[in-house]
Amino acid sequence: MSTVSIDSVSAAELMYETGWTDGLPVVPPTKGRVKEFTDYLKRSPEELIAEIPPLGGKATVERIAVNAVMAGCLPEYLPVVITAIQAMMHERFNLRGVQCSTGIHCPLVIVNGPIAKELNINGGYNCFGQGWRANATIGRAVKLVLVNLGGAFPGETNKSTFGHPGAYTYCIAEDEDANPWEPFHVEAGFSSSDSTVTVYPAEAPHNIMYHAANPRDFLTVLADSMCTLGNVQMYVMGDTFVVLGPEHARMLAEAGWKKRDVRQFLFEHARKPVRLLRRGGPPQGDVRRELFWPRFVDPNDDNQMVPVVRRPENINIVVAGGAGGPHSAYLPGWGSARITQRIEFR
Amino acid sequence: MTRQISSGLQDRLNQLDILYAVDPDSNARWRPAPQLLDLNGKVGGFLGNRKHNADELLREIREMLEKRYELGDTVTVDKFVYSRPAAAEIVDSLAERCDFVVTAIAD
Repeated sequence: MSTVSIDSVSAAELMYETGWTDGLPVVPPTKGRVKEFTDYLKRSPEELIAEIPPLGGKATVERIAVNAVMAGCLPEYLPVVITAIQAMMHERFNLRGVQCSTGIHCPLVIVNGPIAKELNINGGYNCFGQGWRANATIGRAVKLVLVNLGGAFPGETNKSTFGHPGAYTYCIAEDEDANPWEPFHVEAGFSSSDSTVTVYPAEAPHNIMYHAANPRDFLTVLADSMCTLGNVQMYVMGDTFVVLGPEHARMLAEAGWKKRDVRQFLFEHARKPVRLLRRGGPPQGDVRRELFWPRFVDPNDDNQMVPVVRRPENINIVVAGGAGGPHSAYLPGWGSARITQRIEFR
Repeated sequence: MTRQISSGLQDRLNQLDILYAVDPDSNARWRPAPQLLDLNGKVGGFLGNRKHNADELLREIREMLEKRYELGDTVTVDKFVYSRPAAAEIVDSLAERCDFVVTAIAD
């Protein structure tokens, strides 16, 4: 154990010198503090969890714990962080692309199940904002792992044109109590007693305001916001996410709408014609868009309507946010699949 | 690449028992291919990413190389989609058939 002491400001400055921070001060990852984290898991610190692209740094339990300490996590947050890292290694998440793209997306972590309350992960008011240690530090730890072990430094292998505010942290819980339907992870095939992490490369939340009380009108507004010509999903498909505020979710449920009805409506109405999509998207000009679009779309027919995703099942719906506000949010994706994984590290 | 830590900084971290947030061995896993001293007679591969500007860039580089050198042959191939790595069979095929490969990631 070290006999050298250092004041907190000097420690923070020392950590800046390493280049391992996200621009904000970090907690120095001393051996003693990191051991508290690895002891909590009762797993070998040397256990390899993943090799993080693009650099391929080996993310062992200990190295993930180091980054979690730096982020300001508590030891009990570590299972969520590790599960998020594991989930992002799924081939359909395409982490290498997520880390290196010129796009604006950033991995979002959504927590479901009992652990969300146990750790006080916010799914209510201001859930995408500041004020909750678990949200702030779990999301931050995930991002520090991706940068420090994946080598995705801005301007180097991370070529994101603008970056993303969520690159500091991007983590919420679903508010299962406010969800009038089954929780998101149950719909994904898990038990309600399971705790899960869902990861999804998301743009920033786009607010959908609707103050009246007509479900079809609300969904029409939402669908219109989902299929804009600048939305990369119109060209590359993948999964997409809708976060229904509690007010909107209750309005739909009380009118008899099931989640699958909502999904089907959005699939049928969040569409743009080929003639408009021909003007934009990556890359411009004539490309083999049939590689991405559903087979029922003829890319040579200007009047064909192209949905924002290939199948209704690609529209993911969670319920979160504060009560009393007539707001929901749409989070465009980047062509990747959302991955949901049970938290086993406890 | 992982940030390089100077020996002086490393000493200060060690004095305080601060552990590494990075994998110090990760950089060593990547190394440049051996330099070709002469391209004459060599087979060149050109791997595109299906983006319009990448296609143009690759075509111009290929034409420039063909003017300057007597290439043995050229192999042009696109990966399936720009946002994902090339499939293993494409990479293996290029490695087997080519002496050098040029790729473009123009957006």
